[in-house]
Amino acid sequence: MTSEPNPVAAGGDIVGSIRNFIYSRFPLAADQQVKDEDDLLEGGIVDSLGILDVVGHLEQEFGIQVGDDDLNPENFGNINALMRFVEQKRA
Amino acid sequence: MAYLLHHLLEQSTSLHGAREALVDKERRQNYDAFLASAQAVAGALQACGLDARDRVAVFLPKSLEEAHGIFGASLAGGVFVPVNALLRPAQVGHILNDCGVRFLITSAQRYQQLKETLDAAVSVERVVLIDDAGDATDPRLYSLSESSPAEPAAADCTLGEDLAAILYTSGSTGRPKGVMLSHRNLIAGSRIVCDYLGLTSDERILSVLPFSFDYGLNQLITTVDKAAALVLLTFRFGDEIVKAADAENITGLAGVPTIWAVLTQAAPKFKTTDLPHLRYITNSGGAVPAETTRRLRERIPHTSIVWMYGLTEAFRSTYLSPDQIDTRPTSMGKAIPETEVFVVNANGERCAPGETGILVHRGPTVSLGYWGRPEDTARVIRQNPLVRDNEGGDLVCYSGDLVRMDEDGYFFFVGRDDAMIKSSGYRVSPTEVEEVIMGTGLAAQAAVIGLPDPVMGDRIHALVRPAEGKTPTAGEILAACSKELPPHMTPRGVEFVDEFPRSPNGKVDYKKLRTERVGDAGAKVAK
Repeated sequence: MTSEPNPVAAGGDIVGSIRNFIYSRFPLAADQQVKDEDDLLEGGIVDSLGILDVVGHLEQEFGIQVGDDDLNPENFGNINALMRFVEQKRA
Repeated sequence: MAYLLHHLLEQSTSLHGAREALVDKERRQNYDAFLASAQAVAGALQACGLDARDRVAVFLPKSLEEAHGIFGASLAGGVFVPVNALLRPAQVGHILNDCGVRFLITSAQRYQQLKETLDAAVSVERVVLIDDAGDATDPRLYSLSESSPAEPAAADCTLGEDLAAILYTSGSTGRPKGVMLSHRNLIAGSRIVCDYLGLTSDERILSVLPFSFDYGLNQLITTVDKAAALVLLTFRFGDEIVKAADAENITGLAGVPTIWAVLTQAAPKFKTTDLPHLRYITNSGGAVPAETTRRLRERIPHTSIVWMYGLTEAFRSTYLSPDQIDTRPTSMGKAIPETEVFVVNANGERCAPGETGILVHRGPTVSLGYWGRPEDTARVIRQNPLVRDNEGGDLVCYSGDLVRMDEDGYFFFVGRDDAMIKSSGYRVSPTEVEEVIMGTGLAAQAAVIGLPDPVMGDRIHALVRPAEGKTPTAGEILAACSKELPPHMTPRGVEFVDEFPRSPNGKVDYKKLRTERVGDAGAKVAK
């Protein structure tokens, strides 16, 4: 139905996969050409519902479990932070 | 006697000018400063040539300036149109064109995003920027930060019966319609809510709902009515709500079901932070699952939980008294003060207890109908079926919601008999999403339904029959929707089908599409 397994998730380019997802699902990110270190939250690129979509994507794409305590700006603030979060969860 | 919206602000300022009114992160304004800022907006609008009843759209994130725009438009004698900050250019353009907006209040950044939309919005004469225009040279621009407009002239020809605001909301088909509210509607809505929530000037209310939503707007108005304080917050994480409620000694919080789901399921600080000042919470925009209510009761036992029901066309209709929350957690409650709510059957007769019918609302918050749509208005704002014309008659609002009343007079939501979706507190018409999917050229046909979701109420689900020779992926469809639609309207899933079930009149059978996916429970429960 909705899931399309992503070969990237198997190993390689986590940051690239996250960037693609952010660009395709959050149009303001593409409009503003956000870089990996640019803030996604303050400028309203990702809103509260968007966070839930990001969580769903990370869980499905990288096979990680995102808990309540993980939901904070430190993990979700920008593309690099998301990458570090995924790496940490998979370690 | 306050009979225009801005009278409330003038009154509270004259009595309590030094009291804190608005908090926007580090920025704080007392009533003196709030009124002065709103007057500056009014002066600017009049300097730009505003005539009474001109529509003034306010397209800003939740901020001091958004509140100034709303009261400024009222002070100037205009009609304010709050536009949800999450909307994409296409939806903003629809609103600007639909009610012939003449003035748009926004920021330089948002103006840049809207440039093409504005070129097509011929009614918009001036764009009032809350900040510097930068290097933009559009002659329509008027920068509030670069001008010092004169004191506004009193717009004293306006009456309480006159149009004050237009709020856009969706129905079961087509694009959003503008619900027209008079000054009297807004003031009655404020008086009624102040009454049943027992609001006082000590209130510190947390505002997370948009001002484009009637109940979010009502929080601003009741705050001003009582000379209380409103703390503005745009949140992404549930914990941000908890932190703000704690730091600002919040006494009242209004939400939609999604917010309560986030707070009880995805906000660790909610479990560890005591909120001793939180006197009440209220819900609108869909039913709260009983399990969520139970968790809230457990976590904040000292807080009154006031669940209510309403629709933009009549503001609020019912609320459940907090003392009933444990015995009737799924009830919509009874009519709000000054209001009668009853259930009628297809013949326009009053239903007996237990019998399902349409909820009809009678009282001072019945709106003036839809801007520019007399036929749609006539379907919703109608003569009271229980009072004959020659007995004075009166206008009531037909909600379109199926409900029943129990023997004790408590109402219960049954469902809707149309395809309207309630996503994250917002009404969404399938048409709005289907148009975007069709616009991709990848679909021969599309139908959009709501599936039950623990967080969003209804989760938007798209069914697509691919166009001849195309093999689209779900990802392509979702990316296209994300680009054109705000998050609450974007499908969460895409399903490809070969054909659609039809009703006897040949239309897509939405009820069947839903039933096939969630069973009988889903056919009617489109909360």
